[in-house]
Amino acid sequence: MKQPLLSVQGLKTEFNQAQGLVKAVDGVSFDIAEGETFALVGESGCGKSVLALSVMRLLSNNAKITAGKVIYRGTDLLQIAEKQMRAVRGFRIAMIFQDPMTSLNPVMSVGEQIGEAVLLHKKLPRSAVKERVVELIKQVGIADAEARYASFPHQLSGGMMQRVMIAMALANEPDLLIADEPTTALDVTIQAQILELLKDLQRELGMSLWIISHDLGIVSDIADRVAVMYAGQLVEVATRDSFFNQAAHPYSQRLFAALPKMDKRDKALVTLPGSVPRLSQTFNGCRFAERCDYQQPACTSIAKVAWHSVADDHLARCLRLDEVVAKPINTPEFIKQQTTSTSNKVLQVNNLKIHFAIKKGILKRTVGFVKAVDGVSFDLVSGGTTALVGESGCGKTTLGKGLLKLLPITSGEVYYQEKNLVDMPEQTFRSYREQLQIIFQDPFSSMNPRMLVIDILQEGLQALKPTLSNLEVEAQCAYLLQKVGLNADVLYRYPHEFSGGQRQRICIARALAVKPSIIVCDEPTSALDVSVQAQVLNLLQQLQQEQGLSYLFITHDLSVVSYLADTVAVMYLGRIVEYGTVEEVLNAPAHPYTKALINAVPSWDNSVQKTINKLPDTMPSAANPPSGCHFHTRCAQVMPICSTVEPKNINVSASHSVCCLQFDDTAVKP
Amino acid sequence: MFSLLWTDYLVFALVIGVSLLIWRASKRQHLVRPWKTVSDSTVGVVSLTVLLTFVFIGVLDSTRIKYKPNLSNGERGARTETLSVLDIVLTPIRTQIETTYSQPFAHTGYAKELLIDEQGATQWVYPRLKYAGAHLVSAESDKQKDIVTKAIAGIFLGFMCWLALLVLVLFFSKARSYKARSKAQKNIAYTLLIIFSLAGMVASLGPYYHVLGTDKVGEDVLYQAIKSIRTGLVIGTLTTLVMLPIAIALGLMAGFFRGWVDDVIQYLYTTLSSIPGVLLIAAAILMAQVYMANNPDLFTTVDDRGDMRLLLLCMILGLTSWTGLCRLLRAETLKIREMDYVMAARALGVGRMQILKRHVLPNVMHLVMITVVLDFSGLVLAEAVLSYINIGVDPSTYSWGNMINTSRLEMAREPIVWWPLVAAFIFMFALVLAANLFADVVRDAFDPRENN
Repeated sequence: MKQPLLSVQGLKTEFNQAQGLVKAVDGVSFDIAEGETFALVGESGCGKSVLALSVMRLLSNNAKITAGKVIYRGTDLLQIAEKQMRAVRGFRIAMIFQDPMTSLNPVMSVGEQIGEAVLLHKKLPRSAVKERVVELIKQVGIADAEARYASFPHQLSGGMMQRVMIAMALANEPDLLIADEPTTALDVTIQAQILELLKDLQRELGMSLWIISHDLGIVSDIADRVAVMYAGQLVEVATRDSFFNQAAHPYSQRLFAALPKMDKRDKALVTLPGSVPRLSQTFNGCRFAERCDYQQPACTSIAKVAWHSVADDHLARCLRLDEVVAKPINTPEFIKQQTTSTSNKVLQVNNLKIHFAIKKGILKRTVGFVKAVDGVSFDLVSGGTTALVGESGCGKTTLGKGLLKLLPITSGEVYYQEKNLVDMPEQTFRSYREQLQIIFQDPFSSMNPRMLVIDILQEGLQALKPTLSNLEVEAQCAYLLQKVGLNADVLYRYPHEFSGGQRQRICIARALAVKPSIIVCDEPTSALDVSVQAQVLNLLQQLQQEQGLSYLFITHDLSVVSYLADTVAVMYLGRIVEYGTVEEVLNAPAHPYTKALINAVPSWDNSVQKTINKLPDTMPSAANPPSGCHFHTRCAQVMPICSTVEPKNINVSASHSVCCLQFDDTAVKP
Repeated sequence: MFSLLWTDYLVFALVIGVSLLIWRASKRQHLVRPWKTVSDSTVGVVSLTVLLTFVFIGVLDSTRIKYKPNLSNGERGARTETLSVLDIVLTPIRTQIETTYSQPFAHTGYAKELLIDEQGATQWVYPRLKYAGAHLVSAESDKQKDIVTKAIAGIFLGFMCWLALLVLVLFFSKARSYKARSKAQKNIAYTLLIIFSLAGMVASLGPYYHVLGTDKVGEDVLYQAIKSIRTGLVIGTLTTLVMLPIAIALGLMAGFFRGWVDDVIQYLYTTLSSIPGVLLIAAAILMAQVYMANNPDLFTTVDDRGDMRLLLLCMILGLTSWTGLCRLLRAETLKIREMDYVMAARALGVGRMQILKRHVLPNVMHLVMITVVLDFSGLVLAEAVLSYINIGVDPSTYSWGNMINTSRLEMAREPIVWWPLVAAFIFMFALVLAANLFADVVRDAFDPRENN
C-alpha cells in the first residue's frame, strides 16, 4: 500500500476555558492519500475546524495539542520548528476558509494579494509574479483576468472572492488543500460552480483535497472518502459509495433521516433527542449512546468503543453494528393530513413594489431607486405554506418585511380580510399586527440579550392586549413555551443560555403569543444544524396542523421547500419568475432560472443524472437591473428578444405560471 | 447645623443615585455578570478600593457644618463659620499655619532670616518653625528617631484600626472565617491595610510635622492636596452628569429616528465640536465673573463664589464634551435599530418610545459605562490644565490645578520650592491612575466581543 500523503494519528487538542478543559479533538486518526478527496462531516461544535487548525498548527493560544502525530510525507508536523512549519503551511498545505468576505484584505487589490502568496516562498521578479498571478486568476475561472488583477475585493461578488481565495491557496501548487466549509456562505448556484472548480483543479494539479462540511450533498458530490465526526471523535470512515449506500453508524443514519425531502412530506422528520454533549465532560464508551435508539448498557460500560468493520474500507465506531445495519431507520410518526389547502385566501398581494431611493450629494437628491421588490403578486392560502425561493439579494427578505410594513411600501396592494393594509395608517394597522408575525433567520440576533424570556414573550401581549393581568400573562407565556416544547421553568432565563434550536423555539413562541394567522418565516432554519432544523420544521408543521396557520416561508434551501411548501414562488431580482404548486415547480420547472437552481443542488441520488447549468456568478444589481427580462444576462437559453421585451406572466397550467418569453407565443412574433 | 453648597447637594444626590442604581442593577443578572468579571480581577478591585477611598474623602469634605467658634476668651463668637467634616478631622494640620515655606519634615524655615537672640545679637539663621518639630528639644539629633518612631506608631495604629474593622465585618457577615472569603474580598482587605497604614502614619506625624511641607503663606501642603480631592471628584462626576442626558437623548434620537432629526443633531454636534473647547470655557468663565461682580449680594462668602464657579465649570465642560459619546451612541443605535429583535418588537406593535427604552437603551449602556469611567480621568486632568491657564476653578478653591498654577513661580525660585508640585502630582496621579486602571478593567468586562 502506498504511503498516505497526510496521516493523522491519535490527535488530541484541548482548550483551556473558564468552564474547564474542553477536549475539542479527542483521539482522531485518519489518512489522506495522494490525489484523494477526503470529506469530514459533522454538525457545528463537533470539532471539525479545530481538527483542521490543529493540523495546520494555527490554533489560538489557549489551545494545546496534547497527543498524537500529524505525519506529512514522513515528517511529523507537530515536532518541527515553527520556522520549518511556515515552509509547509501555505506552501505544501494550503487552506481556504468559510467566509471569503472576511478572508481578503479590503485595501489591497486582488492581484497584489495573490502576488503576496506567490512571493512568500520563492523570489521572483515583478513581471514574473504578475504573469503567475494572472495565470492563477485564469486557472480559477475568473474571466478577464488582466482587468481583475487590479480589482479590489469589494468590486467582486462572493463567488469570485472565494475563487480568489482558492487562487491564493493554489499559488504555490500545494499537495493538500484544506477547504473549511468553502461554500457555506455562498448561494446554491455559486456553490455548484465552486465545487466544480475544486474538482477540476484537483484533477489538473493532482493535489489532495480535504473538505470540511456539514452538508451531505456537497460531500457526495466531491468526496472519495468520508469521515463523520461526533463530539471530538470520528465515528465512521468509509468510501463515498459505501457511505451513501448504507451509512452504518446510528448518528450518520440520523443525519440522513433528518434531511427534509419531497417524499417525507407527510411525515415528521426524524430528530435526535437531546443535544451534542459538552466536550468538557469525561466520556465513557460511546459518546452518542445517550441519544441513540439502539443504546444498551454495554455501550457506556466499556471505556472506549473500538472500530468495527462494516464492509471493505468502511469502519464504524459502534458496538451494535449488526443490528443497526440490519434494521436501519425507525419509522417516523405521521402528522400531516393531506389536502389542507382550501381555496380560502388569507392574504392577497397585488403588484407590490418596494423601492429604496438612492440619495446623493449635500441636498440628498434622489438619483435612482433600488427596486428590491418590483411588482410582486401572489396569494397565501389559509392553512397553507407558500415558499419564496431565490438567491441572496433577490429581495425575498425585503418582501417579507414589507408585508408586515416593517419597511415602507412604494406601491401595490396587500389584502387581508378584504382590507388593503398598504394605505392603512400605522394606528389602524396596529390592530392587524397581531395577525401577521415574523420569525427571523438568526436566532442569536432576534432576541434582546438583556431581556428575560418572560419579558420577550409578554412584550407582544402587553403592546397589543394591555388589559391582561400579570398572572394571565405569565400563564399564557408558560402555555406558549409548552407549546413549542420547552419547560416553563426557562421563563426567568436569558437568551444566551439557550442553544440555537431552543432560541428559535422561543422566537416562534414570541410570534405565537399574539395568536397570529400568518407567520412570515425568514429562513428560520438556515442557521441551524440539520438535526435541529428537523426539530424546528416538525414544530412548524405541527403548529400549522393545530392552529391552521399560514406560512410565507422565505428560503434558499430547496429541500426544505420540497418538504414544507404547498406553493412555491421563485424570485429573481425583485420579481417572481415562476409560481406554482410545489410538485409543478420542483418536478417540472419551466423557467430557466428555476432549472438552474434545482440543478445546482448537490444530491447523492445517483439515479438522477443531471447537468450543472453554469450560471455566471455576477448577479446584476437591483439598482440597475438589465433591460427586458432581468435574467437574460445569465440565462442559458437567451434569445435576442429577451433584452428588449419584458416578459409577462404566462399560465402553463391553472396553478402554474411562468414569466419567460419562451412560453409567450405572442411576444416572439415581431 | 448643616450648611451645604450647590455642589454638595449634587454630590450627595449623585452618591445616593449611584447607590440606588447599583442596588437595582444587582437584581438583573446580565448587569451583574460583567461586574463579577471586574471583581475577579485584582487590578480592578484594588483600583476600585482606591477610588472609593477618594470618594469617601470627597463626601466627608462635602458634609459642611455651620457652627460658632469658641473665641479665645471661652465665649461663643457671634460670627458663624462653616467647616466640612474633613476639616474637623484634619484639624491640627489645618490650623498649624507657619509663616512661610518650609520643606517636608522640616523643623526650620526654608530661607534664612535675621533673628535677634537673647543677647541681643543679630543672627542670620534658619528660624525654628512655630509648630513643626516644636516638641523636639535638640532637633538635629532627635528628629530622625522621632519621625521613625512616630511613623511606626502610626502604622501600628492603622493596623489596629484595620483589624478592628475586619473583625467587625467578619462579625456581621455570615462566614466567620477569614479563609472563607473570596479573592475580591481579600484584595479589598489588603488594599485597605495599605491605605489604613498610610492614614495612620499621617495621623501620627501630622500634628508634629508638615509631612509635605508648607506653602508661601505657611499652609500645610498635605492639607491642600487632600482638600483638592473633592474638587477633582466634583469636576469628574458632575460634568458627566451634565453631559450624559444630552448625549444619550440626542444620540439615541439621531440614530433611531433618522431623517431630519438625525440631520439637525449631526449638524449640531459637528458645529459644536469644531469650536475650540477652551475658547467656550474661557468665555463662559469670564461672563460668570462679570455676573458675580455685578451681583455681589447673591454670593456673600468666598465659598459661595468658588462653589458657583466650580459648578459653572462643570456645566460648561459638560456642554462641550457630550459630542463624542453622542456620536458613539448614534452609531450604535443605527446598528441596533436594524437588529432582528427590534424588527420583531415592531412587528408586535410595540411603540417607538418603548422600543427605545426597552431594546435600544439597555444595549448601549455598556458604551455609556465605559465612556463615563474613561472620561473621568480626562476631566480631572482637564481641570488642572484649565486652572493652570486661570480659567478653571476660583483661585480660592483648593484644587490641584491651582496648586500647579502657583508652583509655576515657585519652580523659578532659587532655591527651588518643589514640594507643592510633587504633592499635587502624587495625589492626581493616584486618582487618575486608579481611574484609568479601573476603566480598563470595566471596558474589558463590558466588551461584548470578549464574552460571547
